[in-house]
Amino acid sequence: MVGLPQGGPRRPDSVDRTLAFGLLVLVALVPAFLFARMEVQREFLQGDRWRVRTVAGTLAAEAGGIARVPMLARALREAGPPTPSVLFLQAAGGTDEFGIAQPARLMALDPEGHPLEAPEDLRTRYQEVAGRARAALEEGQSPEACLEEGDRVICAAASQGGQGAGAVIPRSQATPPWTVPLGVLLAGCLVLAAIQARFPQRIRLGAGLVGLATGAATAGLLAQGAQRLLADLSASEATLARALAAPGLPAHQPVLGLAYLLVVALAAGALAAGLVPPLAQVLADLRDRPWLYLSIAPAMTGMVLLIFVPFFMGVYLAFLDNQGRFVGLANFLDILIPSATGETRFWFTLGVTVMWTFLNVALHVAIGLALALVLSDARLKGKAIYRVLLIVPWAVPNYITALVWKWIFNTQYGPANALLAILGLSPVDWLGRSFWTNFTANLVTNTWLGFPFMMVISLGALQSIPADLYEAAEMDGAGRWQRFRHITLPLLKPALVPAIVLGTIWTFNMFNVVYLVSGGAPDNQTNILITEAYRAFRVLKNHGLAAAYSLIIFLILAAWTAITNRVTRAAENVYE
Amino acid sequence: MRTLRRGSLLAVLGIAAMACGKAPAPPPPSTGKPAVEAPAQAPTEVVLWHSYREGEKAALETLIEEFHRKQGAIRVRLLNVPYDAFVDKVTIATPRGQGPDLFIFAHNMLGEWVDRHHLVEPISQRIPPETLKRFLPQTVKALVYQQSLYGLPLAFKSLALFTNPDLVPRVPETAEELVAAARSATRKEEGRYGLVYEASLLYFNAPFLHGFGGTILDASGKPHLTEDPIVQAVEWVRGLFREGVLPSGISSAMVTSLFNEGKAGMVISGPWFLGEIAKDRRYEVGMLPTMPGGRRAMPFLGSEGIFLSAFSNHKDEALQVMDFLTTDDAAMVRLQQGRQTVANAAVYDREEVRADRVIQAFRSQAENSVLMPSRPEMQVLWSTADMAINRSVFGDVPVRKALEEAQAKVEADLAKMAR
Repeated sequence: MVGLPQGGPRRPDSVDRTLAFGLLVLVALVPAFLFARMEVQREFLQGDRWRVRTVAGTLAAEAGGIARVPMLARALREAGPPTPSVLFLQAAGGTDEFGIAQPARLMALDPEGHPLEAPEDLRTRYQEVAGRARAALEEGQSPEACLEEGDRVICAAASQGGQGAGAVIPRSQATPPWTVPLGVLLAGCLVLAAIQARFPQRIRLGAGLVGLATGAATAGLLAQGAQRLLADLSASEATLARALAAPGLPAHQPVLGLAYLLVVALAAGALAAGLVPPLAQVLADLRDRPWLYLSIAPAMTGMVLLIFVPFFMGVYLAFLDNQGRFVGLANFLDILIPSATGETRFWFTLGVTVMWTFLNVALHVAIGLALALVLSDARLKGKAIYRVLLIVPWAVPNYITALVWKWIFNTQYGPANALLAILGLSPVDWLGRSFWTNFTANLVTNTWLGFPFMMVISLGALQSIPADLYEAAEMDGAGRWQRFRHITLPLLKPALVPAIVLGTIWTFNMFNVVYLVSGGAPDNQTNILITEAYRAFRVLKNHGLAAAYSLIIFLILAAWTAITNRVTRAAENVYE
Repeated sequence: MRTLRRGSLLAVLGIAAMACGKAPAPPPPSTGKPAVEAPAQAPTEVVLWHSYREGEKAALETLIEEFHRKQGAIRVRLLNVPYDAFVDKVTIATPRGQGPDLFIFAHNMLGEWVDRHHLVEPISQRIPPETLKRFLPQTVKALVYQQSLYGLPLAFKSLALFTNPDLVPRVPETAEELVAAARSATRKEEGRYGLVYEASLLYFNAPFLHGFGGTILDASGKPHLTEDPIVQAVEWVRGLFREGVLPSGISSAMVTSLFNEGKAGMVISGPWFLGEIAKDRRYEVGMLPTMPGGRRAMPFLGSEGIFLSAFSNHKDEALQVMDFLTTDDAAMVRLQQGRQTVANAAVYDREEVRADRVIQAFRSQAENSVLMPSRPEMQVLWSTADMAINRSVFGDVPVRKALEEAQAKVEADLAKMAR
């Protein structure tokens, strides 16, 4: 262990670099491995379903049943695992006056045809699935139904004669082999350590190349392992399909193609190239001063678990459809490219959101600043009371305020229309079928909610402006407007710009007001992006679409923040 | 309240954008399960979630107390979950083993709970057939999904016609009588309307849609919003508005206050409205009228059932509780103390109930009703259909055009849901 360095952490040595490299490649590979595993398991589930459905269908076929069991047992033996654990045979039974399937004689067999005592809960589940199969038959659809429950798949088939059959299969737990890929990773680390010993100055390029090679090799091995598993499965299925003369399943395609290899390799390489030196620095420091890092560990763990993990899960979700299948950019295209019957009118909503944000923030700043100027006037009496009163809209939880305003805009009983009546104007159906009245209602509510924040910020900044600047300006003959324009505004900027950035983000995502006041009426037109995303989640129940929506919102706001951060930095030097 | 957040702004953005929907509610503390080797006397705890309030809640509590007096082996723990949060709570907590053993809810979520979440236990094999004879057949049928029975009915909820006898002397029998009565009760300058109901919603217009012979969602889950009878029905409602007997922009709170202030001749609402009518307001309840063409206006019938969780560890005990709560005697308590329109048929023939005109009116209406579809497709249809009705009845969009657009939208949504 090296002693505490004087004047900063020590330079990372090759142990730090190798550790950093291993860690980063692992970070690139873990998602790749999980993805491979998930895809394989999905194919296996499909295989399990097909197998158990085919077995049920064979048993349920007209004039089938018990007579077919020996043939089935032979075919299953020949095809190899996975083998169904229980077969069900059910005599014909009708439905009662409520449409409930009547209990008919139910027999449970093992795959060899020996009678079996099936547990009560399994029989109940089978009856449920069998009911679905019969309902499907009556609706003229394919007379089969399946249910995945815990670690088993249960399928049932119904025949025209009314009898049915079913089968249960334990779900296959298929995992592509991972020990060899891990070995490759370790080998990569050793290679890197060897390179470093000779060329420490080339570390960035070297790490990138080794990372690329390691990533490609590991991903390739993973993909190959997965492919072998799937090929075995397909062969077994083909055998069974032939023996039962049943329609087979198309061969399981290896999902982990060239693009997959390329992405994994590039991710590993890029991470290794870009992040090895900084991470190695951190690791060197960590080895020297572990207590320092231990003390921030709780906060970091919290950040990772509460922010980064959900965030990346959300990103992943954006690429899946409702059944959890990977669909690439389909969700994004669905949002960004308008279609005739398309639910989401992204560009329209974006336009509304931008207008909504701009008008709100402009009003917040204008009203907040004006009030702050009034309140900061030394001649004003009872300042404390005004200040408290003006902060009230901010202090009340905003959904309560939103609901109060919704009532204010009520056509029949709302004070807004009562006020119009006093002025001799005809009442307005605020939350009715017009876009502009709904939008105005939302805008007024959010302005009420938003100006106190800008006022408080401006007030604080105004009090920090030295009074002698004004005195000097007055001596030089500057007027009221000139003093405001050339002293107040520039000195407010460092406080106001971050407040505006923050206000913009809040307003952009101001879910409560839009959802509670107009609720998107009419026809979802006053929805902003965040309420549209919620609608995709809650009403359309399309989680992938909602996640894609959120990701787009995130990108817009991230870009906005990056741009304004520059502006803010430019404004920081105003006192110099 | 907003507070300035510290830390990485980007990270904050991250959660703001990703957690846009609903963060999963923190799971309720798990119910202390009795130890496996507990002494024989220790009672089994069955957790029952409901969203009842006031009278219905009191009636349920009375019944549970009685159940505890009768036997000592099972203790029922009631948990009152707010109605708005009920579906989410059940859907999220139950598959994680933190939900109730039993819960009470309307039947219309059944399809989704069974198809998507597998969280309701089928009880076809566990309920003796004679138990089902207790109930009005419609209320049982509502709880049957794909030939399996998923619950026992407690009560039914359907719309009926409430009248203010001061403005409408007798409950109209036909659509013409309804229109005539509404016309004579309307005094627009006093803010008084003949017929007040939430006419912008599909649920409240469904009686007329069915009364003209329409089918909103068929048994296989296909919407039929552009059928002629449905167009005619919406045209008819639009006529009421054009004539000025039906006000626009009505919410449920406004229905209540207009009726209580004597500014509504007739109101279309359900049994829940009984608890909202002011003590001194006289009212009558009758069936919805027959429509042109001779069919009765038939509201959607909702059956409120008690469901057994598929994840319960005490299914046998829970079934005993279900059975107890649905006996005729228990139904009588729910009817009298909770003013529930109970599902038990025999109760309506008892002496003290036969004289109850209000309860009897709802019972007759239940026999002239259409079961609310419990298929998941229906959940997609509601808001789009509401919009079409709202646009065409109160707006300038031709009825057929609005319905055609709604039909296209629902079909697209369904395709999206299936994908």
